[in-house]
Amino acid sequence: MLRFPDLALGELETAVLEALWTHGSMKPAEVHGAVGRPDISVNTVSSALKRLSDKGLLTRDKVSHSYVYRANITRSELQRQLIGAIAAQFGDTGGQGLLAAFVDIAEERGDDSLRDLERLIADRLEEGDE
Amino acid sequence: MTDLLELALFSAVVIGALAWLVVAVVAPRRRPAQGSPVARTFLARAWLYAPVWVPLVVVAAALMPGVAGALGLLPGDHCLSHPASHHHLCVAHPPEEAGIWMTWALPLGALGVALAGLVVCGRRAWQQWRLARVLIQLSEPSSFGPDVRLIDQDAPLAVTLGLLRPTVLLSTGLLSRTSPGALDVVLAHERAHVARRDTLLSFLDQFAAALFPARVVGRLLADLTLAREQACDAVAARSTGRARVAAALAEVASLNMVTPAVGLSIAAGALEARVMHLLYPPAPTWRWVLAPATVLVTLVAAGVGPGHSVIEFLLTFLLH
Repeated sequence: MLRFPDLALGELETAVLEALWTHGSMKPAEVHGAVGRPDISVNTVSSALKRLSDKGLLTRDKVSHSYVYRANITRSELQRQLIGAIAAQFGDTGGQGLLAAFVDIAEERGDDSLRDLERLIADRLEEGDE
Repeated sequence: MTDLLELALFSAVVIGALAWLVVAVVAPRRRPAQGSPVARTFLARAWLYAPVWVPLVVVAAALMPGVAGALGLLPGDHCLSHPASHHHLCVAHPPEEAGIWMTWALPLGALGVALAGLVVCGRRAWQQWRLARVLIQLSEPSSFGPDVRLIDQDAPLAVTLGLLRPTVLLSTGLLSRTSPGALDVVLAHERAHVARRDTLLSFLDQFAAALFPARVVGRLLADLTLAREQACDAVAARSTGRARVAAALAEVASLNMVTPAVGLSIAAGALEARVMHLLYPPAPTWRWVLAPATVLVTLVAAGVGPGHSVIEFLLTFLLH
């Protein structure tokens, strides 16, 4: 499970990840091209790549004279870890901070109690809802 | 005038500390809140923010005799009836002695402790905000409008995330596995959170709660979360009917039992409370206003009457 500083990615870092998710393995210069930001140098992209691989989000392989990077985590997995980290941030206080979820997911709830509720709701729908 | 400020600040901190103590002792023993979400939200926030609003009310009320006297609204001069050595909470006769270390040390010490709690909370809040920004960046646009974005998750998730312009995030698993009717309910519910600025308010509540130990305010925060969800359920029910909202809740909850997702958590039993509130809404009443109104009137009366004298006595006693 990744923690706060590793998951707090900058704009360039998410752009780099997006590029690698779309194109697979790439060299820094190719990533730079895919990110499509002429205001940012290849060196800046390289250091973003380095940071991401230090965090374990990318894997790098040496191919001839340069490194080739690929994503070590899927978009879905990264999103899952982010949601977990956001929800856990105030989890111990009973509050949620800046998050509001439709239904709780970790709630302790038996199958039976849900069946009972569903029966009540079905009865009401049959009677005709207001 | 700084002398008056010094004494008012001193009094406010002493009263704030007393209010804090009352909340810390009484709030965990409170009966479970009843009534409409509006009533329960108001009452829970009244407890949570008591260390802030109680001293403001009492000190403002305690300053009233002095202000009224200065404006000539009261017959005779209130302050002249006191001995000369007496510290006045008065605009026209500001306290004579000031710059006493205790009147600064005590409030600053108390505010320092409060500030430490707020800083710890602020650090967590900042981290949560940073993570939320990354998640929103990694989400993709949806066909529901610019305020709704998609995340690539099998678990059926619907969250509202952010502070000033919150974003609704729906998971692909939710879209593929819920009925269109339930999806309408989910969207109406989440958009109600956005319209009500719920995430911003909860964020502020989190700071107020940081002034207390978690076991004191855990239930107040849980009450607030439940009331907020029920209020959004009610907004969604305006277009679809209450039983359909309840059905959508049960539908999404049953999907979550199949794929338990990341540790999102609201108060235990919240689902049941929400379904019951939808199927059997409590009769609307304003009777709940009586208790907080009584408290407010008592605090103002205490501030103007005995509070004024007690504060002045306390000041005189502590400063000599």
